[in-house]
Amino acid sequence: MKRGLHRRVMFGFVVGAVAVFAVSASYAQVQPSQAGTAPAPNVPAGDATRGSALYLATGCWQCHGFAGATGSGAPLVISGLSASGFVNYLRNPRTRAMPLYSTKVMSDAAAADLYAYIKTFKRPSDAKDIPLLQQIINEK
Amino acid sequence: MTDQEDKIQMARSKKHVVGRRGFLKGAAVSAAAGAATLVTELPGAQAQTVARPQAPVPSAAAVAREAGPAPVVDVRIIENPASDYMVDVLKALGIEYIASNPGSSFDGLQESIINYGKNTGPEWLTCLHEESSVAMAHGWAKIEGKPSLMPILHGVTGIQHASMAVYNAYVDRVPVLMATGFQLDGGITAHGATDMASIVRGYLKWDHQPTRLDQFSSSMLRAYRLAATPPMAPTMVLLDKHLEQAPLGPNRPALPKLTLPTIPSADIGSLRETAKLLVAAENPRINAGRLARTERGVVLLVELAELLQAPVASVGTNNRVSFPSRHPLAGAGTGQPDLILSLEAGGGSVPGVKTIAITAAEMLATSNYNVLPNSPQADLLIEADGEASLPALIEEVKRLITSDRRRVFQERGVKHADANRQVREQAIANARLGWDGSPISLARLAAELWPLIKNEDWSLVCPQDFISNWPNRLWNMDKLYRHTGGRGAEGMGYGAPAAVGAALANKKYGRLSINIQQDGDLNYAPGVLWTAAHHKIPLLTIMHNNRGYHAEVMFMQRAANLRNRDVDRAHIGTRLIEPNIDYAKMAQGYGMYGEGPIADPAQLVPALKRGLEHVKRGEPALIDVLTQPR
Ligand SMILES: Cc1ncc(C[n+]2csc(CCOP(=O)(O)OP(=O)(O)O)c2C)c(N)n1
Ligand SMILES: [Mg+2]
Repeated sequence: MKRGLHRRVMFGFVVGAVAVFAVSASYAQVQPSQAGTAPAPNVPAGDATRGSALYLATGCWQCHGFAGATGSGAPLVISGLSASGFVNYLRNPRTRAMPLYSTKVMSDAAAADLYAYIKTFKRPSDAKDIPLLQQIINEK
Repeated sequence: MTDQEDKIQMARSKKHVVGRRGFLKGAAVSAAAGAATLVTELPGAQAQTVARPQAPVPSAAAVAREAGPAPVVDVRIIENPASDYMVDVLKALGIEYIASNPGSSFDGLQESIINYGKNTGPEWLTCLHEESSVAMAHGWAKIEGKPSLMPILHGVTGIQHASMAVYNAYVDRVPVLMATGFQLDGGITAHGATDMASIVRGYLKWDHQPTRLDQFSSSMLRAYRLAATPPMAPTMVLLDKHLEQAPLGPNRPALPKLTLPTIPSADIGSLRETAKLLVAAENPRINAGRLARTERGVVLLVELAELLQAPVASVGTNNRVSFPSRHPLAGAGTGQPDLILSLEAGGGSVPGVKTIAITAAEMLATSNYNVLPNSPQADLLIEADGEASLPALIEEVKRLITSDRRRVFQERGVKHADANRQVREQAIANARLGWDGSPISLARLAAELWPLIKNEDWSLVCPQDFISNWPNRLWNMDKLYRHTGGRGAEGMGYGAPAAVGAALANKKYGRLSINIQQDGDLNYAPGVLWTAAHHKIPLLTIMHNNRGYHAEVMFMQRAANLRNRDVDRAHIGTRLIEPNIDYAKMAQGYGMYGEGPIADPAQLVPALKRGLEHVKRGEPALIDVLTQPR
């Protein structure tokens, strides 16, 4: 699944190479691996309702679609990441397209809520069960 | 009116008619006195008598009694303006439409087109923004391959409005021929400039300001030819209002004869070398970005690819169709290439892989703008038009293929076809993701639309990058006109007007035009919807309504994350909500069928069918669909 997460990158933004932390009035540059809490903590059980609000507010929908299935980001609906793998990925994204969510902008608890919400996404139908797609596949 | 006033009025009137160019003798012209014997004086010619219906000439006093005091009017009449000849020039060049927002700097030419030219060949299209006029010409030329829809712009302000659309066409290498009117002694001095074309010259291939009528003809001819010769690009002719207003003298200049030059193709030595390398290569790959200019380009590329059994990567989101999307050799094939033939594709070279590039695009490079994403890097770089170079290249390849090589080629062809099938099936199967979701996924939208259009002669007249390339993945893109490609310079506001221009061209061939329309793009200049309704241009517009400048929403999100602060405010300045824009009402307001928003996938097909019914009747229609962001 890790491959899936950075399979589709539509925008070649130069983002994620560094995360910038505010330190008083000055800034310090921190490498992604230092930015988060890797290895991920033991993620507490999250709350899917709170997670659904966060999914919209913190911009996940922008690249992963409103149901985690569409867009330029990885399809979350078929993600096999564990809770700690998920939080770890937020802190240490593997693509330039995926923004880095540090503990400052998203607490471990909030990340756990998000994970709980993502787990409620309905798994997609199999292409074999969608006649229109079968029809298109069989067209010459 | 007293006799005294009568005399004063006559005197004023006389004073006024004694103009330099043409004047009226014998009768004062007013609203009440239309019929008279008219004498027009032509410069350098004998005064010429124009017979008019005989009617008693009323005295000025009689006129005044009937119609009140005559106003001081411009009574010069020029019945044979030079702009009539200009219309003949446009006809000789085969200009079919004028796309224009009116301006006093070219009212004479406009009058000639609608009256002298009978508003046919060319016909006047009423445009609500100059950016729309030029983007319509851009879309038109992508279907027609020639600049036969011509924008006429108003001096200074019209060019300023048109500027971005000119730039899009330039970067897209599309032929757009424009005229711009100007009047240096006009009422608004701010609409005059000593070098008007300088506003857009950085992205024009050529511009010229004729000072004589015969020059107008040669300038138009040259502007047309230069625009339509690869590398194609916009050109502009600037029209001094005085030139079009002047009476046509007895020596009517000759009309232009349009002959397009031969197109620079690669030299035979380079092509022999290319053929040798291609035939010897174990796994050659063809990158065909902007190769096809005509349908023949697609046919030729298929021939070359099949001869070599080489895969062709061509259907990028911003390219037009150079190679059929469902051809077994479409795509990247399998295995590492050892030779890349890059045809009008630009782009960098792959380390360790020999590259041959044929492109005319570099000839367009200017000192100021970065037209190409990458200037081509190649071991053999051939500056010539790709399509024009194919026939000779194919012949050279044929000469070199031995039966042994042919056997090798057939074997690799089977492998490439197998890879193609797997990639294609996977790409289509991926449409299942988000299939039942609401808002509607772009994959579902494209998939549901396909059975409704596939038995028609259809043409997709919008970019596909912001709709995740789904039509390319799902539909059978087998001809150049199936997809008009991208915006050129990524200037937003291109989509709606270019779709209308392309749809107008497609109308001639009875084709069904489909536009999947970004919401942000439409709102730059939505008045083009009215132009489509007014001129009955059949076009199905389906809103990709993600309620925002989604590309920018994502940029903003990344900016906030990068700075490690408030990651929940990316919507500010980027989303089009509160209030939501009602596109169905917008369409209705502009006079076309509009319905939506449709958010439930179950309601999608019936709505699309209703829209198509209208389009098949020869009108535009708009269906607003609430979509997933990408
Ligand atoms: C004239 C112009 N202004 C601004 C931009 C920056 N820009 C790039 S994409 C974009 C958003 C386009 O929104 P929309 O057409 O709705 O497409 P979406 O990203 O939502 O699919 C903007 C404003 C541009 N490319 N061109
Ligand atoms: Mg949008």
